[in-house]
Amino acid sequence: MLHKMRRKAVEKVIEDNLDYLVRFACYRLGNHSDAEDLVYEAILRLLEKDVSTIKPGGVRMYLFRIVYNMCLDKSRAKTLETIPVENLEIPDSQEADSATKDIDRINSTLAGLRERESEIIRMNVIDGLSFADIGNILSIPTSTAKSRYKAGMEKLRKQLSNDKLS
Amino acid sequence: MDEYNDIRDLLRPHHDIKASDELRRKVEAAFDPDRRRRSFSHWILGGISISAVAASLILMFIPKGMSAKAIISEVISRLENTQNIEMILEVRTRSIENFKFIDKDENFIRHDIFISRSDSVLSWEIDKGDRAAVGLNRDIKTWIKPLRIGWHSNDHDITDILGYMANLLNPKEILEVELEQCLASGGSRYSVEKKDNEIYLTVKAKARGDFRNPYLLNTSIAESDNIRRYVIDAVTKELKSASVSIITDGREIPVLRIISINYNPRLDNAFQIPAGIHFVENETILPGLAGLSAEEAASTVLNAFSDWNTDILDLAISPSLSQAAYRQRFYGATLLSVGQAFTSGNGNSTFVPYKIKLSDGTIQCHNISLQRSDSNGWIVVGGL
Repeated sequence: MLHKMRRKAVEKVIEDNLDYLVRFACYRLGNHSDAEDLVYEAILRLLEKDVSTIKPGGVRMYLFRIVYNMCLDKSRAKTLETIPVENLEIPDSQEADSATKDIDRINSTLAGLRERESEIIRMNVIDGLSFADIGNILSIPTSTAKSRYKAGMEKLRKQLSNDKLS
Repeated sequence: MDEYNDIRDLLRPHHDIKASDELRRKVEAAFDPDRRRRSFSHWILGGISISAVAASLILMFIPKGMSAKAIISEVISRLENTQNIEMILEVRTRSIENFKFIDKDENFIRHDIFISRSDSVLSWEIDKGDRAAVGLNRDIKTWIKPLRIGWHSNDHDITDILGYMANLLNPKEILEVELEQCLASGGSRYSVEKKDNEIYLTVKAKARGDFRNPYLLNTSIAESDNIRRYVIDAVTKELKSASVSIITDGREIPVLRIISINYNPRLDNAFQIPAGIHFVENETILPGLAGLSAEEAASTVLNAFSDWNTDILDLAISPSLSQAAYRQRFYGATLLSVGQAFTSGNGNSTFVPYKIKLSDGTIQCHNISLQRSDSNGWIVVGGL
């Protein structure tokens, strides 16, 4: 009975955070469809686990951590756009939709920063994660997350004021 | 953090991104264990992807009756179910050098590698005798055993530290990554063939970087013309062995070979860090020596060793590192000369040749390695 209740609690956390997870993956992969595939895979992995090993309050962070690590793995492996082996025709390129343009705009603004700074700014500003949550996902102290955020923001401020002058 | 509200407003998305209805339906279905089992199997087979050109080329090279998709999907599937891997390999290097370093003139040094993967959490250990490293994803501790000092970084790119060997920590992706890198980097060629019960994947690649100054040429696999060979058991689809050779002066010289791979062993004693190692945190942000050329920065640092001027040294070298690793050797040294700065390979570092007389009279000639700090000053990253 307890197991069933805990299972239900986990499923609720997944449903409540699905939008956030897809958005989180989307900003890192640059593609909504890839993001949904990846989030779905992460959820399947979570559901295969024995939920009694995860604290009820830890499911959300667990999911973000898996998704973050999977996005990193995917970004490292990806050098070309890939398509399934079954389809040997190159797909037509599509007009970028508004959300994709948004992603491109934000990622290009952050492109001048070191990845460890841009990632924290992305997580705090776009994903709405607290510095404690960010520290949890990246396995760094909260204070380190804050100092990288500050360093990145200072560089952005300088970068944006240089852009205005030129 | 209200002081950054203007920048936060600039970054804020104009359009919200949500999960599609289809994803919601799939997730809801996944809550039912029986429905989830069927869809997971479908995902494993359907989600394997390689580029169109790679796919068509593989189909050309594989003998009739054996599909590239079947081979690759089975290897990946085999490795999906593998949580632990134990590997022994040999690399032409020095036991104390960093993990990326190779030298065709050195003997083979044994490396023991342990890998444990669970839910995208990767634990790994590499031990090459005098130097070892343990990692939990990007949280990495590296140490030099004879000196009992080490470095801790909790957000580091594994490839930065391990170079080519980072690929071996994730054997499941070797085939896909190799094929994609071949097409991305240009000038690389590959072939796949089957002999008896073994499948051979061979990749020939050019050195990456600018080697007008050849200082870094052939000092790492990425910075060498190289041939990488992988052998896969055609029956079990397990990676059996791998080797890397560099091509220099028209000769092929093996520099790395995996001599054994053990799937799903017990790893009870792996990932242990010995006691008594002094770890330096790589989080220290150094300002660097600003407003100087590379030669001037090198001279300034090397001159500061004579009286251990920490006002200068602490700007360019982590204080705990200089104290633990350099003070004993360099305190009281006299700088004799510096040469002209140069870059080599991928250009991440600037090298300045130097000649220094140590306090015991020994003359040391080497190239100090510098990089730019976040605030555009010069910091020391090696060569001492």
